[in-house]
Amino acid sequence: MMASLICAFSVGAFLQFLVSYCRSLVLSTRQVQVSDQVFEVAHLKSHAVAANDFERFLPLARLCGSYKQDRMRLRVVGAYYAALNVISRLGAMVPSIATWTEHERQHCSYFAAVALDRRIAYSRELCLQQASNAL
Amino acid sequence: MIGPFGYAIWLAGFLAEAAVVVCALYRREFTRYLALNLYVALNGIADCCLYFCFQRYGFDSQQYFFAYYSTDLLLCLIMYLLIVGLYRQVFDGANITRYLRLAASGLLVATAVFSYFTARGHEHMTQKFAVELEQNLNFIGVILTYLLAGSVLKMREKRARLAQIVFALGIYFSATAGTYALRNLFPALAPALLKWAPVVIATWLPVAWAYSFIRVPDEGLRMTPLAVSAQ
Repeated sequence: MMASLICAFSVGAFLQFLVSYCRSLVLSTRQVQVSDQVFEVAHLKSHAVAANDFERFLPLARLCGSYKQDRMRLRVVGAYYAALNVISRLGAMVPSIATWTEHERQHCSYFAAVALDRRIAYSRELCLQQASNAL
Repeated sequence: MIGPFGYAIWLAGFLAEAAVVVCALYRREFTRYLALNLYVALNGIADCCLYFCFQRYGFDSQQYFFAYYSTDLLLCLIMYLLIVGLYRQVFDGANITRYLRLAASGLLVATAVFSYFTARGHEHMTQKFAVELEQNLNFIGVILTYLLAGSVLKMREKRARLAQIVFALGIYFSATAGTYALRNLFPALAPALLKWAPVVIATWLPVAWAYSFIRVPDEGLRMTPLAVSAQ
């Protein structure tokens, strides 16, 4: 009886902690301003990040090459985004779940936009360094 | 017999523990997160002791069993100090340390007594008591961390590192408590499940904390409760 209770509570708590941990990763970039070049590179006319833009930003960020600082975080947020997609499909009929997943997916997209911005800046810096070394 | 996977997990955990302590010392934050650093350092020492026991007596020996449970119980007690320390940091300014210590001590004694009465009369009482106490302490840890995480969300904690430390601790406690409960519910699963699950879960904590100390800035987060974020 006690073990069943502990097991049920632990599974529920585990899922909540996991979501909170992923959200803390995603929200850590919320105060960072995304530069215009990100929207240019992604061919976006509007300078507002939408929930579905994650799939647009992520491949572009990967194209910019490996950047150690956010590689792991990007993977975790990618998994979180995929889980949110599944939840949004399953809970499409419940408005509060749909609103929540939309909001969270938008945070994930913003995170990917910041990652892309940093990688573009990093790649440019590398190019400049190589050019100065060549001279 | 431990294969390359086992050694790799063990080594990863040990290196992450070393990274947490070194990073805290380098950034002069050792005393700021004193209980956490003490826990991590002692965890590293316990890992070395367990490795010695494993090499000398083997994985299935009584010596390894007692070394595992005694170090784990000791670390569990230090973990309580760590949780009290985290509560103090989250409720920075509010004078509740005395009440927290009292509540944590009371819970600890109550858990030990409850575990004793559960294990009393069992054929292998010491082993049963160790497993029961471990399971119940982890469960109390889950509840305390759950309340702490709730406070972090409710108070919209700005310290990103502190929030991540608390959530990582919650993942660790809930996964550990769940594993022990599963072991009690389904003893047949024990050889398969309990051989690796605690090791993998125990590795998660120093790895996540090392990441928080190395990569996450102390400020710059505004956590919102899940319900609020949807509004």
